[in-house]
Amino acid sequence: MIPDKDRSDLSENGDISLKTAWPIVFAGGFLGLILSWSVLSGDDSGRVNLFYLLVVYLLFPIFSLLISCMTLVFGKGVNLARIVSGFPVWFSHRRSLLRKIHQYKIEKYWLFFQSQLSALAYSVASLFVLFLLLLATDINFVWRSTLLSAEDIYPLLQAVAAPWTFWDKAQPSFALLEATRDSRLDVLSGGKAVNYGLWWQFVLAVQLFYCVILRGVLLLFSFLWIRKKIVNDIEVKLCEALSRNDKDTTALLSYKELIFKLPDGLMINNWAGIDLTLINEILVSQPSSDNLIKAGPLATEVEQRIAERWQGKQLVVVKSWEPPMGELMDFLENGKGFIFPVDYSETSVKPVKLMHLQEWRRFINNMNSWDVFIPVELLPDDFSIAESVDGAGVDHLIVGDKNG
Amino acid sequence: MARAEFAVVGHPNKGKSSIVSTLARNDKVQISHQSGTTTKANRVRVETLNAGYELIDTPGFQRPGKVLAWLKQRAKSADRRADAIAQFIDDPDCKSKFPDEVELLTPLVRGAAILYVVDGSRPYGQEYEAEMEILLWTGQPSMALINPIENNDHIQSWSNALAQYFKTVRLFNPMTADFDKQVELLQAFAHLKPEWSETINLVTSDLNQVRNSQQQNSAIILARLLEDMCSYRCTQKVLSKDQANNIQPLLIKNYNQWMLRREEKSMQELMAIYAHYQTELQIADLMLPPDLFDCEQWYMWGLNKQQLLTVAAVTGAVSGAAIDLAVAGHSFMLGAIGGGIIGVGSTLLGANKLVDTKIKGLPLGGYEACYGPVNNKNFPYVLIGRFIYLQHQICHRNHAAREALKLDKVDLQQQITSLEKSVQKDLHIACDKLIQQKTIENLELIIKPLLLF
Repeated sequence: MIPDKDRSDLSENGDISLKTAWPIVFAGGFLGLILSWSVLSGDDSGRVNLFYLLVVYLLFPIFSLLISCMTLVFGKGVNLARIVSGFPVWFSHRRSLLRKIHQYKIEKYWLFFQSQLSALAYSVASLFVLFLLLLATDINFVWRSTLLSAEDIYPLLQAVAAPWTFWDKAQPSFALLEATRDSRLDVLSGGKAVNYGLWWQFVLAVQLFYCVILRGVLLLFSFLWIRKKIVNDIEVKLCEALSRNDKDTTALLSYKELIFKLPDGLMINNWAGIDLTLINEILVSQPSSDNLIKAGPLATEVEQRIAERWQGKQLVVVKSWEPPMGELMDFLENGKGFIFPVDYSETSVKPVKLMHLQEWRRFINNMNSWDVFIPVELLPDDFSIAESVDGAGVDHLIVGDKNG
Repeated sequence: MARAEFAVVGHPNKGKSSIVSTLARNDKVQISHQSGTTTKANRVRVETLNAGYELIDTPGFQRPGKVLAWLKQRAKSADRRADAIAQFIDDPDCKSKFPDEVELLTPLVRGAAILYVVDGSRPYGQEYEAEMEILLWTGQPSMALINPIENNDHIQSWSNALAQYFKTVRLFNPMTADFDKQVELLQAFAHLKPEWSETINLVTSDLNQVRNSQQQNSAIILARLLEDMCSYRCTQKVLSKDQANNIQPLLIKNYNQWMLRREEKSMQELMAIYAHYQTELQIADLMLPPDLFDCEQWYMWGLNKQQLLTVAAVTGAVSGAAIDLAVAGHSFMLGAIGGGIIGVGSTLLGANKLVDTKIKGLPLGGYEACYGPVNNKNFPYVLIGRFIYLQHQICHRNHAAREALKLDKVDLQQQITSLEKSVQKDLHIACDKLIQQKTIENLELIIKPLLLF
């Protein structure tokens, strides 16, 4: 049995953490750093091919995002996080986390979530490299093409810049496009050089809008989705149900001592309506019209009134299997004597059942004027006598359950 | 849709609460051998996916004779009887003198149907007639349930007597009635009031769906248990082999404790699936295979040699690829290839030195003492056997049952051989993979046929 205090500890097994998987994030950041540095470091003259830069800042993020989303919807989810998680370099606690994620059927969502973090790390690293180089060197953004002219490229750049029309300085201009066309056979002109750096705001906006914002939205979406999946997981629900339904504790009961021998001269009250010849041998006083009364649900009104008037001690014979009811309690309040629970069939008397006897003992426990009488031969088989006390001509025996 | 309400009434200790507990599939309903445990009418809502009904666990009759006498004084003819009952439950004097009867009659006056419970293992007694008479006076639709608590000895005499007061008399033992019998009884309830039949029919149909999902959920819990326990290992990083050997007893203790607790957790979850929250579970100890101790070297960041090789190769290759990119491919990818080779080579040559190297007193390598995972091929079968044994027990256990449940050793062979060959094959493959700590797709579907519906 699990103690209740341990249930919370065990729930750790089901804890699917949405914390950052740093190896995956580190991989994204490392890739962003390496690619950005490779492209932005440019040639000997600091010239950076704008098209190469757009591959790293626009095409690669967009392409990976599309693959990531498409495979999330239609497949198992292919992304950088899945590739990194496939490397055999994970520690055991990470492996157990991956196993849990697989068990919770959220593997592809979790990897998608980590992939967005990784993509954000890619962007942060790329932007870090961009700002570092903008600060420390003169980056000259140029473009070269044998087939395309500025007229061909300009609409494409306009379309790319459509999301940030409010940001004028980050919009491509046709004049700048023409001014930054480069040929490796050109001799560098000191007058034009200032234009080559003007693309940086466009480049920044590309990275912000096509990577940081998009990935940020997807990160939030995947976070909420995973949370929802976890909350609805069967194991999580069961743990909640278990903590809501703690076990009931059973109150300890007190029982009256049993009486095994009756005093002489008792009035017999046949509450049970039993054929008294069945218990003749047990009774000290043989029932006769002088010592017999009747009360309870089977008595007539006259019998009931006579029984209620009796002031001396009496032996109330009841059916052992019928629990004590309010009618009996009302009757006992004004009398004194013994309760004798009897279990019988049509022809014989049987030992009473343990649970029946205990119920009568519990019922009588708070009634000072009453005791429970049971002959030793009618004790339940699973009872043992623990101690005997002899006094006042009546044997009082403290009895207990054999099992303690 | 009309909401059905059934008040379970009768003498104290005749199984009223047990019947409510079993039908509501709720073991939070208090059951006791002490008479007078239920002092207030306790409403238990039975909610299913598309419908629901209410069972009202009422206190037993305590003074039916006196109550009937009170009612007879106020209703001299049959047309006044229902009014007399309504007057009885509102009378302040009656509320103080007959609190149990007021509690049990109140829901009946407000429209609940009567489910009258008696014990069929004890002889019929004339003293029951007063309470049956009172129930008859309410005029509510009613059914008598004979609960054979100890035996069936007196069912006939009870049937004869009950037929005088109730249109329908049924035998129902809340401790042993299986799912079909419970559903059958629910369907009989539907006949008590025609406007309730739609609700009750929906409930019974929902209950079948619930059983299906219980089987499915049990399979999920078992699959997770198998994966967790077959892959669990307890580890501790130390500086030397001697230290590793010294902490072996502690690892064994922690490992065994974790395994035991993990299994217990799944058992608790299994019981929660079937809404058995109060059941005490006595589990025989799980025999874990011995000699699962191992000690291996680790290097920087806790990586073992294979992991270090991979990291070095990947890092070298990526760095080399960056150089390739920077020179616009003029290096013919020699940077990536060369970087990978250099990474692997330096790891192979220098890894062992890392174990003894320290930076500012912190070691860059050492040993890892490890206990587990289990490598015995029988282990998954042992776990499956224990789990399905409990599932079979709990699946058949009525919610009125309060005795502890024992989990003994089980022979799984018979159950496996009863499966189709293809299912058996899938199961054996899955168990092999579990021991190798390999991921298994849809393990729960493979083990589901072993679980009871």
